[in-house]
Amino acid sequence: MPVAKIENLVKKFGDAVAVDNVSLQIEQGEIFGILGPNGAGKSTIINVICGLLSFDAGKVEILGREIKRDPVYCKRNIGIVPQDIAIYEDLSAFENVKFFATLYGLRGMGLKERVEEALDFVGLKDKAHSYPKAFSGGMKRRLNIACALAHRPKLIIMDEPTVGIDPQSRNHILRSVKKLNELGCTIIYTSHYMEEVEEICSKIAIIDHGKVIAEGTKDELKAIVMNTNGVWITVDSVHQVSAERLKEIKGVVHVEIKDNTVKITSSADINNLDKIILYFTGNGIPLKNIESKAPDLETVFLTLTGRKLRD
Amino acid sequence: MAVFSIFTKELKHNTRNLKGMILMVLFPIILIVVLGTALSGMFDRSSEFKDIRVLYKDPGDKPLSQAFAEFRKHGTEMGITFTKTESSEQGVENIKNRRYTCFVNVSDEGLELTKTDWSALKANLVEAVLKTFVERYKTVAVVAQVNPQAVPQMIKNSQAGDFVQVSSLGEKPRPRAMDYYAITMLTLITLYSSLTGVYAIRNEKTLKTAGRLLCAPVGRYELLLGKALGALFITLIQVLVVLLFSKYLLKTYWGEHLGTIFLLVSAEVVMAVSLGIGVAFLLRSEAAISGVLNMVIPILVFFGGGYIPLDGFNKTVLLIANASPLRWINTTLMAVIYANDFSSVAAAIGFNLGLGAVFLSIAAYAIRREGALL
Ligand SMILES: Nc1ncnc2c1ncn2[C@@H]1O[C@H](COP(=O)(O)OP(=O)(O)OP(=O)(O)O)[C@@H](O)[C@H]1O
Ligand SMILES: [Mg+2]
Repeated sequence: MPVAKIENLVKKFGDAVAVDNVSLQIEQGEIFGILGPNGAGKSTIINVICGLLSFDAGKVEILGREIKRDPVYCKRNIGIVPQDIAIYEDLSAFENVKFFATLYGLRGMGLKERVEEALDFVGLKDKAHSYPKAFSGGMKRRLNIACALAHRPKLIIMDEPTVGIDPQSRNHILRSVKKLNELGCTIIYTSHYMEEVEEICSKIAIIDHGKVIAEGTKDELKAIVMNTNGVWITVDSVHQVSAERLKEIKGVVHVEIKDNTVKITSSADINNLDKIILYFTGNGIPLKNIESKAPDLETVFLTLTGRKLRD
Repeated sequence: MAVFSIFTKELKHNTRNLKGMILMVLFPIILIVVLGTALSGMFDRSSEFKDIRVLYKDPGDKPLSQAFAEFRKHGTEMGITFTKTESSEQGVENIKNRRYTCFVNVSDEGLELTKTDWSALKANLVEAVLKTFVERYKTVAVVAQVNPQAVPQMIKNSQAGDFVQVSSLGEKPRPRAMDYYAITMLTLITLYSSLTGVYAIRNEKTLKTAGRLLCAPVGRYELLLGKALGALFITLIQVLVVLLFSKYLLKTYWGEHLGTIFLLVSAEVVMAVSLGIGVAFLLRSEAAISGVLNMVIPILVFFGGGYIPLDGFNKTVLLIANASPLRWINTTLMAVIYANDFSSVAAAIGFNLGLGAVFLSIAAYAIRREGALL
């Protein structure tokens, strides 16, 4: 039985279709990544799964029960880490976690233990009685996660839990996601950082404009773009470089110019590196560095949509 | 259980909110002290009753003799001097001579009060107190207009003869400034507990915690109930603190029925907190909410007599004033405290609780909307 099953989900805001016929199946023990640019519909899908939003068509099941029929059962088994930090600044870390735990029916002796366990898990045990007012962004993010854990949900949904924090806190969070998974939790993880998703997720769905445009394991997704090659060329000044002209070279599918680097994606079956280099030298642009890049999820997204995941 | 969790969480928010505590507890106490002291001259009864000399004729066996004796007793405490005379002619004569403020004749027909122009103000005061004092009985005031040239003209005024419910005046017949403002400031500040109601709802929106609450296996009505109860409870505590502080430390007069007083104020708390909760659901922007409340509250306070007593206003104003739930609370409080008059208690409580129920129903209806809290 899948932990979460979404069939032909449609969610509209007025006339705008935020989720357009999405079907996903999340199995026990997976870290399921939902990857997509801003406004793709990630949060909307998640809010539907956790019963926060109603939907216009389709079916959502948690642990085999339909969320519309049995919302209390479904909600009990979900822990949600919202995209926006949702904690009370005037309650201590301990009180925050405890409050949300009681909403899930925890009480008595077990309650205190579970709260401490959750705080320990995110590395805030020694800050249990401090107020979030004094917390750094990363600490708040971690408390935001702890609030979803104390009731030991079977399914934990994290909506961009690492937005806007320092690398140290981010690593801590990524490690704890893996640890939670090892403890038996199924996790849905949304992000628009493909490195993160690549690092921790066992299965990934790429969403754009409310639609699933690709789905599979990391390797399955990369196979989609195995027939492309990337070459990054660093120059002194990109002033004279014309993406249009580069695209005229046979085999080039995409050109992106950022800072002093020109990133060129080409079909793997055509060897055009000589022509590319000739373009630069022929136009009197000295090359500083040439790098060959293996395809990553960014390339996958780029190939599928013709757009960058992040701008 | 969830209701209780939410309830206790609300208490924590409120007790840790220093600004709110200052507004709801410290501010009214300061207002009572400042207004009560600064404006005490307006209410000083010793100056009003000073130099009032009442001449009276009372054989002692008349129907109103006993009531009049009571009046004399309290009048003396208020600083009025009473002098007895045996003849009515002599009494009226002494008024014309301006030796006394007024002359009261206790006869078989009731009470007859004779006054002249020069002492009219003070005599009116005596008449007013006397009227209230013996409202149950037939009081007839005879006003003698004394004109230096002409013969005094006696006018019979039977208007005061209406059979009104008894209102025996207590130990303190008139409120001091401090007493008046203790009542009006307490009921004024209670209206501001609507902000506690607004905050209870808006807080979850601004903190984005509403989503989390709605993702938990908790019903929307449980959420609303926990929040409403939390806001009500904390406000009741705040009001009680102000009430007890003013009674025991400022020594303001709250009458002999503190329980009833607290019930009345509690009804107002229910109305105000529910108003805040209702408005928080009806209007989406913070600016609109505070705009509406900042408009509504002063209107309610004005028509409640919170700024100035409304007694001198015309009928239309008084009629509109009846729509102010605060007016009901204030007049009923006055009646209970100063006249042991409980006749409007049920109506005042009912009106306020009824309005509260309306506002809460609006909230209960609105919270079902999907985006109500998001
Ligand atoms: N409450 C709402 N009312 C109207 N439109 C909305 C609402 N919530 C989301 N949308 C729209 O639905 C679309 C999907 O939004 P959503 O928040 O799901 O995207 P997202 O993938 O989570 O983006 P981000 O990475 O920025 O969080 C967007 O176009 C957004 O403007
Ligand atoms: Mg989002």
